[in-house]
Amino acid sequence: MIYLKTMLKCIDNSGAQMVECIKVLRKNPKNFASIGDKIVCVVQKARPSTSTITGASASNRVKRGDIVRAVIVRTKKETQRPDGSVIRFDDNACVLLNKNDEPIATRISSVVAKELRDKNFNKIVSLAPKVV
Amino acid sequence: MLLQSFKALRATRSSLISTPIIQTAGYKTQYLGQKVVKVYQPLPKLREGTPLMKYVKENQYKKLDPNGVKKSLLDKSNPSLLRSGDIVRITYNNKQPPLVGMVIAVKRNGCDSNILLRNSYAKLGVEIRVPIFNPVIERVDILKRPTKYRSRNKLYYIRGTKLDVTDIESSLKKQQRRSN
Repeated sequence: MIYLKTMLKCIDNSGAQMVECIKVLRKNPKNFASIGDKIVCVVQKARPSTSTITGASASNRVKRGDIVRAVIVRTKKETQRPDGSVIRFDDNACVLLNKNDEPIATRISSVVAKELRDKNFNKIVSLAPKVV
Repeated sequence: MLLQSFKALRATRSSLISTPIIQTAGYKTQYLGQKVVKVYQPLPKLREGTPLMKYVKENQYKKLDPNGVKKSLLDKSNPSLLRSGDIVRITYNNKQPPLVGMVIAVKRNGCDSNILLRNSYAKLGVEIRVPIFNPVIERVDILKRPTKYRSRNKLYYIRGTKLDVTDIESSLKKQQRRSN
């Protein structure tokens, strides 16, 4: 259940660590985002930029205060699957996206949910080390 | 006098039972004349008299669990039943990869019974509630039992404490290596 003011973990190497949701996209008038939904968020906490990083990953880095889009990959609220099983993670997490819904970053550090594959986020699923 | 009338009543009752079941109740009304009421034989009992819900449940078990393995896992009289604290592997008969986790709760609810599996991947806790009578599930194996069970049936309190589940799959691999 992600809505206005929810703080989420960012699990990619874009530089963001914590982001705050400011809008749930395509869920009007009042609703919450779950796994696979897109949000707009503000970067509240970012890793300090180091000069050693070069190339594509350096240009894609975000800073504190940036407004970016993201897709939710894990929720603490349980979600039901078509086979009747229910999955629940211990935290809320997201991956940052660009305007074409592709991930900004080149790496994903932890588990993502299987539902992303059905919502055409195949790149995130293939980057993730573990899909549950 | 009273005894006599009682005896007469009994006699009439026994004669009623012996006579054929279609009886005519004859009484006169002022305008319609004699009225005949037919009394029919009772219908045969449905499902040979078993209660409806029992019949439905038995049929569900027959359909979802023909060899009774899954039912015996929940049976409290069975010594090798599923308990919270056990480490379990669930194998599917479709392409889904097998699922490993520690049981932290068993919910008994007939064919809707489910177990709550907890695992952690890279220090992130993941919980999956699995309905075990799901026909997609091929088998439920108990990989490891704790040396001593905790004194609760629902282990929700272990979340985020030092009792919490560690990475089960890697620890199982380590054990295998040691045994080899």
